[in-house]
This record gives sequence, structure tokens and C-alpha cells, in this order.
Amino acid sequence: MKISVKLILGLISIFAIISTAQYYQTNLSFQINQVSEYHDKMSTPALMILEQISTNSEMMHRTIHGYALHHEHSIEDYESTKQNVLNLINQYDELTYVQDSFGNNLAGHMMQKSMQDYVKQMLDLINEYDVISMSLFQDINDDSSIDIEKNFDLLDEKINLFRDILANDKLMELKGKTAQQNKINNFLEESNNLIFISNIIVIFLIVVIIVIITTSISSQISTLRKVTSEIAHGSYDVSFQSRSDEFQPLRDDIKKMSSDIKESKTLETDLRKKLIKKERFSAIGELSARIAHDIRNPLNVLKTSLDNIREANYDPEYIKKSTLRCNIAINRIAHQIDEVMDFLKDSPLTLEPVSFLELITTLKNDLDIPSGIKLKIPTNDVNILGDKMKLESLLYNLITNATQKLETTGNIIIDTSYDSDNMVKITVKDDGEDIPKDVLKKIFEPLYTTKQQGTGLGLASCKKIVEQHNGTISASNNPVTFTIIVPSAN
Amino acid sequence: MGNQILIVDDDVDLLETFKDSLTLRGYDVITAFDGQEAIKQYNENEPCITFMDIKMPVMDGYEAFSKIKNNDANAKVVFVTGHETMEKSFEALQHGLKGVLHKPVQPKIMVDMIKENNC
Repeated sequence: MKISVKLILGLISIFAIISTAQYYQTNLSFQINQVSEYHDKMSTPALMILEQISTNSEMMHRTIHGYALHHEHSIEDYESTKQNVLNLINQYDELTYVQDSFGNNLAGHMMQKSMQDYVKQMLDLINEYDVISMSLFQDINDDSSIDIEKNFDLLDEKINLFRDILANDKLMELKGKTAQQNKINNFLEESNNLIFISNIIVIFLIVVIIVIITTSISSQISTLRKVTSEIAHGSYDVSFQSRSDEFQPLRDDIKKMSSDIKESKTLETDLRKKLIKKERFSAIGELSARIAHDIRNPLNVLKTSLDNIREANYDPEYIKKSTLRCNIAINRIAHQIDEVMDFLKDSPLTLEPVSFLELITTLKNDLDIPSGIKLKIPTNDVNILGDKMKLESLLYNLITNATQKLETTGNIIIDTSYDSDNMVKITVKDDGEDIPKDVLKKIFEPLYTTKQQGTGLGLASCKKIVEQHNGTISASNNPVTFTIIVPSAN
Repeated sequence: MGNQILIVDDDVDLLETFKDSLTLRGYDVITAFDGQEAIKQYNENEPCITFMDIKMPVMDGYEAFSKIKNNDANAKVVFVTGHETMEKSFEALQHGLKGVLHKPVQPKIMVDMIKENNC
């Protein structure tokens, strides 16, 4: 699934939860409004009216007592209080039809019925009361005290009933009010719980979304990282699980690039193989031509010298001169062969710690250096991890080269030091002429030589030896310096 | 034109051996060890025939040959080489080179060349 889809789904669910909570909040405030409306339009006026009914009915009762016993009130007074009570009952009756702001009856069906019952009972009682009152007034006019007594008892009975009904009605209204209050309390509690729960769910969802998205991104990135690392390390057969997410185009591209790289690598390897083969053949050809050429001159010396001995009728002087020349010619041929063999030989290294001072001291004694040339060797020793024989051959070549160039006089200075990263730096300097720029460029190339009797393999062999040691060799001018860097034994 | 023989080769050992060989056979031999030296010797002595190496420092055989020929159209020059015959040698033959000898050279062949050219 796409990350954006995941994100959108997560946001939708958060929105849904918040909306639900919001809906409940609105609902709650609606309920509160309703309850307060019930209070204002129903409970409060009902209780007030009932209270007034109570007061007025008591007054009505007292008026009759006053009239009958103390002649304090008139019948008109009674009539007016009774009318008040009736009016109030009517008002109360009207409350049963009171509507809220939405046009719904505030009193429920049951409530309405109960209220109407009460109204009916009250009206009935008042009627009965009135009938008794009328007969009482008649009795008073007739002055029949026994009947007055009896009717008073009846009136008391009726007013007591009326009081009971009123009390019950009040109780009912109070109960209704309490019920409404409880309703709102329950709602409040429910809504608080809901908001609490929805908050927790929202936080949980956010965390889940973050975790899911982070995990899916990081897992994809780590897969991609793994694959690109494989490609970087030369493994081009990439396989991805296809998924329809944002990374798919990237995966496709990587796959494509990888197969392209593989293709071009294969092509390159093939071409390189062909090139190496071709180069090898041309190198063999070149080397053979050079060997042939280099051997032909001393061979010619041999041939002509022998002819000269014969031509001079074996004259001792010519024999001496010619044999000397023959000897040199043979040495030259041997040397050519040795150099070629040295270069071609690919013997493995025998690595051991080699003391440079020991090596150069032995070599110095073996070398045949003209007396005019001074070879200065370092006083401090360094230890090289290398092949003693090959290092000796390397130094022999470099010193011999310098000696040949200096011819009769000059200085050859050898220095050593520990370089960074556990390497040893060896420099071989001479104060002879600088190496021409074009020569410097090709100086380590096999078969490149400026010497008549050179094979062009001496410095190439040196380079090969240094590279076998995982080191480097370079040449520079002013003064002529060969710098070798090889691993230290430390 | 004198009757001297000029030998040019940068290999001093071979040069000396050639010189001895021809001297023993009664020829007057002069030597040079590169192309430039060869031109100088040629101009000074005008040898009858010149045996010259091709690959030499300072100036090679081809260049020396064409310069000698420029100075003296009748110059008799023979290349003595350790390499296989190259295109340039064929070109030189068309421009009056007397021949190409391959090392190792038999002294007898050199003598024959000298005689052929009436030196």
C-alpha cells in the first residue's frame, strides 16, 4: 500500500474520531439546552403555579371559615379566590401543552397524561368543594348549625384531598426535574468518558500512523540500501519484491541501472580480455624484436671477432683483444636474458621483516661503484615487510641506473623514513642531470629505454617489485629522485 | 672521393670490431657513433662507402642518410641493422641506398660490398 494512502487513511480515522466526539459534544449541549428549556418553561412555572394553587386554595378555605365563623369575608371573596384557583389550574393545564424551541411537547406523553389527570382531579374536587360551599352558605342562611358542622367537616375533607393531590403533583414535578438533572449528569459523564477515550484513541492512532509510515519508509530504504550496496560490491543480479508504493519507480530504476551496469561490465570484461590478449601478443612481439636486436649486436661482435683472429693469422695480440671483446659480448647477452627473465618471472613474495640498513650495507659491498661516485646511506634503520631478494634487486637496479648516468663523478644519496599509515618511504637521489620530461612520463614502461644496451626492463621490474609489495614508486626531477613507499614491518 | 670506409654504429664494441676486421683486410677505416658525427666525418673525409646503423641516439640512420645524400648525390651508403627491414629502408633504396645488411654481418659480405662499389 502506498505511504500516502496509509497517511490519508490514518488522517481519515483521526478525523472520524474527532468528528464523533464533536457530534457527542453538540448533542450534549443540545440536551443541556433542552433540559434548561424544560426547567424554564416547565418545571419552574409548574412548581410556581402549584405553589400558588396551594396558597389560593388555602385562602379560599380560610375565606369560607372567616365568613361562616367570624363574618369577616363575603361570598364574593370566596368566589374570587375560587376563581383564582380555577384560573391557576387552567394555567397549569396549559403547561401540559408547552412546547420547546423545536416545537416538541416539553412534557412527555406519560407526564402530560399525569398532569391532565391531576388537573381533572383538582377541577373535580374544586367543583365538589363548591357544591358543599353552596349548601354551607344555604345552611348559614337557614342557621341550621348541625348541617354547618357537617358541611365544614366535608369541606375540610375535600381540602385535605386537594392538598394531597397538590403534594403528589408537586412531587411528580420535582421528580421530573430531578430526572432531567440526572439525565444531564449522565450525559456529562458519558461525554467526558467519550472525550477521554477518543483522545486516547487519537493519540494511539497518531502513534500507530507514525510507526507504520516510519517503518515502511525505513524498511524500504534499508532494502534499497542493501541492494545498492550489493550493486556497489559487484553483484548485479538484483531482485525486488514488487509492491505498489512510492518506491516502486525507484526499484524499477535501480533494477534497470543494475542490469545496464551488468551488461556494460560484461562487455567491458570481454573487451578487456580481448585487449589484454592483443596487448600481450604485441608485447611479446615487441619484446622478441628487442631481444633479437639486443642480441644481434653482441653476436655480430662474436662473429667478427672470431673472423678477426683468423684474418690476423692468430696473432696473439688479436687473440687477446678479440677474446676480451667476445667475453664482453657474451656477458651482454647473458645480462639481456637475465633482465628479461627477471621481468617475466612472476615468483611469489617471501614476506619477512627486512632491516634496510643491513640490506643496503650488504648491497654496497657487492656493488662495483666507480671511486668518483659517493654513495651515502642513512644512519637510522627502518624495518620493511618485504621480500629481501626482490628488495635487493630493486635497490641494485636504482643504484646501478644512477651510477651509469653519473658515469665517473657525483653523489647518490639514499634516505629512509617512516611514512604515515605504517609505510616506509625510501628515496634514491643523485646530483646528475635531470631526466627529460618525455622520458619521465614513460620511465617505468616496459621496453622503454634510452640506453643503447638497455632492455627497457630494469625500471619496469622495479615497478613490478614495488607493486607486488602493495607499494608505489615514482620519479621526479630537481634533484633526480626515485621515491619508493612500501609497508613497514612495525 | 677518397678510398676510406666510414662505419657508423652507437655500439662501441661492435664499431671497434668492424674497424679491426676491415683494417686487417687493408682498408682505411674511419668511425662515427651517431648520425650527426657521421655527417661530419663524411663531409670532412668523403669516404668511398659508408656502413651505417639505423637506430642511434642524437640522429638516426635515415636522417643521416638523407642529409649525406643531399650534400653528395653520389654518396654510397649501406645500412647495417639489427631490426627487420622497414618501409623507410625501401624508401631509402629508391633514393640511392646501396643496400641493407642484417646483423650479425659476415665480414666477407661487407668486403664484397666494398669491392662491388670499387673502393
